[in-house]
Amino acid sequence: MRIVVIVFLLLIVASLASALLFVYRDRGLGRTRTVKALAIRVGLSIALFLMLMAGYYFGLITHKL
Amino acid sequence: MVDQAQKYYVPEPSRYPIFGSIALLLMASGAVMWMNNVGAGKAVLAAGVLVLIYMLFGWFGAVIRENESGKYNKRVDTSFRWSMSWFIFSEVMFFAAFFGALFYARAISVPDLGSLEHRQLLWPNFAPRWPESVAPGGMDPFQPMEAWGIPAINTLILLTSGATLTWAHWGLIANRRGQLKLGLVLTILLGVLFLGLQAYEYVHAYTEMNLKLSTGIYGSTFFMLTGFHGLHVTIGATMLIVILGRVLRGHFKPEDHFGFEAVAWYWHFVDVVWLMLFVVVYWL
Repeated sequence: MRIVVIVFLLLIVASLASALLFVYRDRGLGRTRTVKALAIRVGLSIALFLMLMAGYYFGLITHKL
Repeated sequence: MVDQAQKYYVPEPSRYPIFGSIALLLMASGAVMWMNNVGAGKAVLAAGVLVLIYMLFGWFGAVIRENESGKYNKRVDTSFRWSMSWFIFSEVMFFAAFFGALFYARAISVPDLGSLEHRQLLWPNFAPRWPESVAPGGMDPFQPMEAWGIPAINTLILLTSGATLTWAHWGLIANRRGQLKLGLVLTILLGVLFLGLQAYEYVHAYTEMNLKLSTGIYGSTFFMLTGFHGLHVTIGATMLIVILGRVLRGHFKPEDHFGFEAVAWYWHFVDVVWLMLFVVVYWL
């Protein structure tokens, strides 16, 4: 379980970092790469949170990860 | 011949940097006086906060006016993007230091104190564990913070605020101003709710769990990490309020909204730091 959490955290950081790169690079109309990367970040974060909650509820995670 | 549009705008000398320095001096002096029970400490700290608010209003306002009057060209825009990137780099290093301190205490120093060498030379009966519950000089019993309850609710609140901000972001790009305004208002309200619950959790920790900043390395790292994160939520919410004020005045366009995007990214960054805190501090 711990490795899954670490992988999710790394993916979240990667999507956030890519969004920062797009903030720097993209200008003008029709540029949506930043908001898309941030939306992926939010989706991954909510998935991780729900996974932690479900893991605890179904007994896959005990007191500590 | 240099084209007018290519000239780099250089503002007039500003009084705000010196006001910022005065604010920091007053705040630091006031806080130190307050901690050492000097009577005027609170008043000096409050004066520092007031000077800081004056500086923020004045400086933000000056930059916004310069931007809206069209003084900034593409090169100035590039400077803003670079400065934001370096600011973020400093923030990453800031939190890396505190996460590093937590890692060092948990993975290296506390286990090392329980090694045979240290038990023979220093502390014979020490059994390392985390949260640590014994110390050389004795330690008041305390209850460590659980992930359930307020921390889990606060995680959900911050993640929801990330979703509402992204919704507002799409609204700006699609020129749906109502969606942009509502998304920003919801994000700010969720941020304030997070801070309120965090304050409640601190009061609960101090009064009912005997968990304090002085509760060994666990208490120190817990309050330093979560406290500085709370400060960053406050900074982020303040910036979002400024952005909302600008949106209400009709600022930002689908093709030109770096100010909005920089603040939105900062909020997402603070959100991710909390997610890491939730996993590392509360769950591990």
